[in-house]
Amino acid sequence: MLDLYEAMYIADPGLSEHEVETLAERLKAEMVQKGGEIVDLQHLGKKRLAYSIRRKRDGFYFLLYFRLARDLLSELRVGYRLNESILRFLILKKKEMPAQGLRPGEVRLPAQGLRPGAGDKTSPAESGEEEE
Amino acid sequence: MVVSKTAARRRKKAKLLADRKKKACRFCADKVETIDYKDVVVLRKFLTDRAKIFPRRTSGNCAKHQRQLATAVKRARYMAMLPYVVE
Repeated sequence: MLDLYEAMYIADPGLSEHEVETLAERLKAEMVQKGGEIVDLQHLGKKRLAYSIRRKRDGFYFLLYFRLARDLLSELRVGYRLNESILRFLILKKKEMPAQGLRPGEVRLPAQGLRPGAGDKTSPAESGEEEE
Repeated sequence: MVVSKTAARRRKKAKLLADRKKKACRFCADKVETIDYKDVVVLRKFLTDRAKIFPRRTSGNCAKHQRQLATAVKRARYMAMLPYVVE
């Protein structure tokens, strides 16, 4: 049984647009190779981070919806953690695809209002917060 | 019977509170099923200017939605879409 998941990644802002594309393709290929299926991939573009992660102030965000056997998920996470290009990721289990359809503008990232955390504080808890 | 002033005042206050109409949870009113961590614009409305989550008595959310909101805010923080602290 394949479960539906939503994964969000923050990729290194030092990568070129092309390299980000390559990274996304590689993640997709890996998923397929593990017997999963790709439902959707959305590039959300380069965004300013609310606080710096590994001394980076921006990141390329992208969102991947996929189906995968649940026991392969931990394997996937290990790979992501070792991947230097991925600053952070979050994998969530979804019951179904978002009902309102996938609008590219769905993700509304911080622009104004609260100041993004100034300074060079690194975030607490580097990993381990991702959940099923 | 002697009723103390404070007791009388307290009773009056309780009556006022009881008469006040309870505002419905904003998410319930909008029939929101799940609160998405990606919708930072909505999440932001429930944060103080120090990026703390408003308590239920201020936000007026029902327990279910307040819980969902808290989880969503925490996820958004993890993904650096919201700050943990604003100084």
